Amino acid sequence: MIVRDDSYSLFYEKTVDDLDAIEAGLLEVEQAPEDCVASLVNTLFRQVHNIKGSASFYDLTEIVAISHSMETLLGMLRTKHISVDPELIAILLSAKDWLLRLLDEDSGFDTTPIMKQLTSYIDAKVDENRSRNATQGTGVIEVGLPDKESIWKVSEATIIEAQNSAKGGKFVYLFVFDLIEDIEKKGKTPQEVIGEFDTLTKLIESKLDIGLVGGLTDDAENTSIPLYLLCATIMDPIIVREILGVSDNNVIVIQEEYISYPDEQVVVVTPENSPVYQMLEKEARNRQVTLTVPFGHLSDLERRLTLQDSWEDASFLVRGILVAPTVESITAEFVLLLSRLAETQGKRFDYDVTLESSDPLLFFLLVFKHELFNIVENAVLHGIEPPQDRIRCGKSMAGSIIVNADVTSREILFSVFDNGRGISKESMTVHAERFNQNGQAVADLPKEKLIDLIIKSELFSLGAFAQKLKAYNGRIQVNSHEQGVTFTVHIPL
Amino acid sequence: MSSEVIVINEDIVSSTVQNLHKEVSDFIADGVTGITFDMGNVDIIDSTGIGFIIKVQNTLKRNGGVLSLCNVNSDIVRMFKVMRLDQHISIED
Repeated sequence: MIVRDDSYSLFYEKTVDDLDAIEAGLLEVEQAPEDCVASLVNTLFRQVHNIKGSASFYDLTEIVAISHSMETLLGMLRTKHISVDPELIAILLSAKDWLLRLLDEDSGFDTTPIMKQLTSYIDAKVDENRSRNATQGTGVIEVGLPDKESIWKVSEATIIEAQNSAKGGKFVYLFVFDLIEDIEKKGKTPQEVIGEFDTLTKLIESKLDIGLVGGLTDDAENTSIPLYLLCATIMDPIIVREILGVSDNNVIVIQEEYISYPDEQVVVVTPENSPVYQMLEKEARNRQVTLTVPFGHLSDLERRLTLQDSWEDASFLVRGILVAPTVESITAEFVLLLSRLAETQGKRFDYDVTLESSDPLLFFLLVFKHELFNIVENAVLHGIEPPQDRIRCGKSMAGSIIVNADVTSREILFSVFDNGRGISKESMTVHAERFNQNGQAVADLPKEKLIDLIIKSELFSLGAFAQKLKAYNGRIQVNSHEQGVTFTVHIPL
Repeated sequence: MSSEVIVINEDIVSSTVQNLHKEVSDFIADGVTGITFDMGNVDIIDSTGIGFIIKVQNTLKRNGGVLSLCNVNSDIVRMFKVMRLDQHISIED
């Protein structure tokens, strides 16, 4: 059930802003000198990728389909398999207008014209690349069964994103199941199989081929209904067969190595003068890879890095710890945490996690992930009431949790809103009393002062978090109101 | 062009499909072209059940009609979306 509530309004507003930014970005790309195109395209790719992800959360299938094709084109641009031309920019701008229209008018109108335009352009460029230079590739991976027409054309950039996502890995497989032979006759249901794959791998594409299924009066025997799943995972072919219980007939290896962007940047979160950095810098120079050091003092993360003997080990370590996590992968971790809590806590709630993709935010998330997870966890454990309690006090059965992070020109704002029971006056008083050193009667304190004392207390483990934030001049704001609680963390830039 | 709502009171699995097949076929033989399955009581659809739903949609489509599903539980909606079946069969909120 899709709830178009506060979180949807946030999604709507953010997407409208993103579409404005995409329009400006596309116009900029058209005019930009060649050496600036890559970073502009990276930004555009991520913005479109985010829209696709959020739209998928709200079941906006037309928006997902259009943004997927835009992502494919931007992916081909990103991997330098196509170059900027006025026709490409015009198609992408037109697609952006369609997204805006879909957002404003909701679904229900025919998107065939723009989908045809996007698909034709992608197909033409793939053919062009193929005939120009067969060895260079097309920027698009055609996924299909041997000697058969391809099932999907997926941009290399989409594969790269999937490989580097939280559940992904270097192996990309096409799994092929016949619903009857491979699933029903093995005592499973499609729901179980899809759930298993969704949990253990990064699902890139999926499709049920209904071409061979007839009607009610047709011969019921020998009907084949193939289910195709394209997934990225860290599991090698042997493990994948073991863990997922698939046979050789069910799996085709599409990719066995990480694909890199031609202009790959390795983001190193470590002091510039550290041995690790110096070694990586030397190797990066040899390999013509750009190293980026966004922040200067990350002692707790640096302690996790040790000098490695080789680039392979070190880059693996850096990739594993610091590069692979992206704002998107951390968003996925928040979603995973919330979905697990929804399963285990006997509570019902909708949730939305929207984190703006930016380097300062990534840094903040990496440093404070544990504490931020705690806040989200507490919003579920202590905020959202069990369904029966909610009904009793006249609320909807399902609560709502909204996790949001924005980066303004001045600060990072991370907020967690829950529409649960709020922090009661009794609870505030008890915790505030423990930290009230002035001897003033706690009950007489203004609400702001009470909340200040609560932040310093151990309630929700906020004390240690507030202390740690001080090193970054950050602060926590707690707003408990009738509609629930909003925790906001401010970190000045 | 007439339409019917069929409330399905059991899971759509191999053991129940035969009865549903007959019920739906009878409606179609009577000239019904639009069918809505009320899925409020359906928790599980197995592979045979999915095959059956596709066959109903294909039959109705040939007759110029359409199959819709309503009151579908979120796990089943998710499965239909992963299989891209939502592009062929209308799922009402």
